[in-house]
Amino acid sequence: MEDWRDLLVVLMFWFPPLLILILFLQVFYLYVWNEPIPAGPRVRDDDAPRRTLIVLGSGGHTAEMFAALAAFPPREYHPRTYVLGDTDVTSAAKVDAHEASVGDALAAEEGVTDDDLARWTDHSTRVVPRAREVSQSFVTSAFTTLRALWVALRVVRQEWPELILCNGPGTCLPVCVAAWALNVGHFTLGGRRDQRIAVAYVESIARAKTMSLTGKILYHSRIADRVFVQWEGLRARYPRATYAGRVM
Amino acid sequence: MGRAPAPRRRAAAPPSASPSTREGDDDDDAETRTTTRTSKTKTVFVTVGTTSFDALVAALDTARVGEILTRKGFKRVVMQTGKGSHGAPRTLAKTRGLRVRAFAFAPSIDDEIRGADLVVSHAGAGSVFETLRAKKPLLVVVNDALMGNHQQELAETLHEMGHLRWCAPEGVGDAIAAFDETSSKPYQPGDPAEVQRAIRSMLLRR
Repeated sequence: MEDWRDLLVVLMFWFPPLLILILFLQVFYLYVWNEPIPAGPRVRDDDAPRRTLIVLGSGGHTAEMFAALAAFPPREYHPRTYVLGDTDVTSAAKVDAHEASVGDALAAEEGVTDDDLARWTDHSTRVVPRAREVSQSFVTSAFTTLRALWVALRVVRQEWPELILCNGPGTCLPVCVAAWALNVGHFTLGGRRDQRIAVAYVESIARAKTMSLTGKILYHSRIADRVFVQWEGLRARYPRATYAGRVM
Repeated sequence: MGRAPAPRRRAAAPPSASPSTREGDDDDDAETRTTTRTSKTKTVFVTVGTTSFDALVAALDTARVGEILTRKGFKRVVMQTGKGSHGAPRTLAKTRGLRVRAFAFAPSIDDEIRGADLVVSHAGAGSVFETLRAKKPLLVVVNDALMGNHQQELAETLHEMGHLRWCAPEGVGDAIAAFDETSSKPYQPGDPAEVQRAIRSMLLRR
């Protein structure tokens, strides 16, 4: 029941502006922004690479994301776009270190051509402003949230990934909402089913008994196609969530 | 492409539950090299994380904690004190037979964890799992100024599984005194492959 109280507060403040924004964006999407989707039409088979957008939280969230990414073979999940918050000063270096080690590991394998290597290590970094700083007032945060959403929308529209991977904190919300709005816009236009952007949210390993607010929003709103929790006890409270073990 | 995920950093951890007697790699240990290996400088490492946790630093910075530590055979304290205003522990440093080294932040605390015989940590998932992966005895101190803070649930859960002990800052002295370094069950690190498989099948099913 606590969930609903939390969510109600969020909805009261954010639902009306969000709804207006999404309607506006759909119109915008229909008439102005109708450029082709970067990946082009995809025919999904197991060998096709998956364009992946990875949202890095900062600090412990970033560390956890890289622990999870170790299981995502770079030759299957590429090109990769890393999305960083603009106040996150440490994650950019971690992206470079991770991608460098991915490149080294692939280069050490036999039969990997330079061409393969270039494709499999193809990655970029995008920066998104934070929706709300700690201790910012609700009034001014309405504007910063809209700005964050706008930037997130441009990033997701330009990259048009097949998969968005995120694990909190709230900085990933604008990106997820943007993906949802674009999906809605795309399919009201008769877009192809396999061009849908899938959102996977991995709840923090620190959440053993309660879901984070970000997790609750993505779970209850169904913006995330999959919510992973890392503890079975938490899974029991959220039946649509997936328990697939811990990432570290 | 049913390729297995790239193998990574799993190899170097022997399944040993006993507190490690591995030498720390800093030169402080030079003076003990002449004696036997069991009498190496027994070290406790304290970390408060990226913010501040003055309550923990203050609770440790007492003559009583110094006495408890020396009674348990600790000869060295390494402390990461963060942004707090308490700074380096001065009272603790006066304890006879106990060397205290303090620093605010370090780019990585991996080496400190590996060189310790007991880690006293804040409840952040980062240092908790780093310590468990290094198979070191771990005492988590939950910041009760952040009551209702979700960090407590991680400490509680891992305690129920037998991987660590936890306490409030005021109780840290007693908790160290009562700490049995041989009782912790080693933590088996998780495997993200399952998450990846679930995501892959989700993408294929569309």
